[in-house]
Amino acid sequence: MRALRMASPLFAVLLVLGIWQLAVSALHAPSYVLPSPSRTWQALADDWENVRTLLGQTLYESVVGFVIGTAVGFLLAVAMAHAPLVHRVLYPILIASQAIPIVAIAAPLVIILGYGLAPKLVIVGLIVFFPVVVNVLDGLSGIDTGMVNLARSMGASATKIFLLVRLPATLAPLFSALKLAAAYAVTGAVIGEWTASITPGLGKDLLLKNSRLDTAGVYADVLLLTTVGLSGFLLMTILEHLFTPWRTRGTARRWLRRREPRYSKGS
Amino acid sequence: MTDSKLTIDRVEVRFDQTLALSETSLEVKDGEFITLVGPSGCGKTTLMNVIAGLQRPTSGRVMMNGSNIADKPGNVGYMFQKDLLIPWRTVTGNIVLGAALTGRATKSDRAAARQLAARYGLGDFVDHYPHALSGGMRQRVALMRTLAFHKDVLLLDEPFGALDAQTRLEMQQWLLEVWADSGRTVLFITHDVDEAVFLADRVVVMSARPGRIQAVHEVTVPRPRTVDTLMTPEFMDLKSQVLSGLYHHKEAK
Repeated sequence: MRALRMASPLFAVLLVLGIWQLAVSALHAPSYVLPSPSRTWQALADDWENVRTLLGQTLYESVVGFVIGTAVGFLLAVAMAHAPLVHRVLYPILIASQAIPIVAIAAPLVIILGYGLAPKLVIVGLIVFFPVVVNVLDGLSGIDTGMVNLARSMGASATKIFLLVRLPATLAPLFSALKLAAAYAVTGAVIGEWTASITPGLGKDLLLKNSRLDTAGVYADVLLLTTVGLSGFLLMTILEHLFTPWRTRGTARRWLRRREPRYSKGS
Repeated sequence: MTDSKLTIDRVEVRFDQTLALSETSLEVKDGEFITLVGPSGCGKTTLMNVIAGLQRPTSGRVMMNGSNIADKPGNVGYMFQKDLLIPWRTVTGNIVLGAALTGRATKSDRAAARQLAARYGLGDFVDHYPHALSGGMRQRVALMRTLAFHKDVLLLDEPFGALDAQTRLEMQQWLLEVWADSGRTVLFITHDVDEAVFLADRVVVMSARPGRIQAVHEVTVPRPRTVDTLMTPEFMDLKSQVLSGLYHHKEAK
């Protein structure tokens, strides 16, 4: 049963490939409209040397943008939860930042920051920070006031209460946000490359191949980008399991338990 | 008086214009078990919050060991109706919470917590997270957390209110056992007159609007008390006294 459960994502991949192949054969689509999976694979293999370095570039933008965006989002949420004034001032700005079409602010960003890495990081950051702010804020404000009162009754300082009661309560919602953000980060990097870049990357490469009607190459790039996004999501899921074990387990992991006897007889 | 542990001295609490607790005084002896009963709004919890230092009294003092502990949290152990176990801490982690919050939970704190858990029947659950425990077990852990905070005075605010009748009776007996072992002074809030009489050395009956102490009943029923105690004429007699106090007072209003 367990093996079956582990293998089920593999079935999903096979299913998608099957439908894809079926569509190609059934529609008799020319390869510049809809290349078959095998053609796409071939295109990927043929262009691998080139694509590999571009992938590295896009990965770099996604990861750095993700780290900066989520860190800023987390700090903003903590600041907003602590000071109602900061919350009242920042919240409308945050909402507005999400209402701005990212593509539209790419131009001014380039004017300010140039064509280098910076505008791309800003774009990725803008996309990923929002779910983090919203979720962490929920985690901080949704905490049981009884728990805080309990800690206060024990004479705990505000710092201790924050570190031991409030902060860990944000972990579960934080990881929900990080999973979304990991998937969005790649989208952000591609948009960044399309709108604010002269440096190469997978997104840029995709445009180039599109203009050459190299559809199989485009699909190959899309496949790679999807893989990056999925890997990010998967990594966050693994980290979530590691860092919030109480949500999925009844007992603490063995290697996380302090090394002590279970109980000593007569102290 | 030397054997007085806690002195509630003319404590009064107002919220704006509302008098939540009118001038209240009570002497609590060292090692005494006091239960407080009364309708909602009689100021029981307000009084507890004052003793715990969570609520500043409008006037009056709470004296313990010669100093005023009103508005000074951290001097007594406080247990709430909800167990308030921290979901990301194991049973051991929850028991040592007081040490962790006020300094550092040392190795010996954790060892002591495990020993406490083992002694009171949770030895196999020390590495469990709270969500994997039953309601009764969670309340036990909450009480162990309060005990492990090492304070002479324990405030228990309806700790068994959310439990089913059977578990509640077990927990009451267990609490008496723990209390006898530890020699702590206990103030225990309840709605349940049976529970109040069963546990207490003295039952304090409170009434509402404004919250105040209406009567104090000495419980002379000998210890140790068991389920059979609940059927003795002595117990019944005291229970009816407390009940009629609560009931007739309402009639008079």
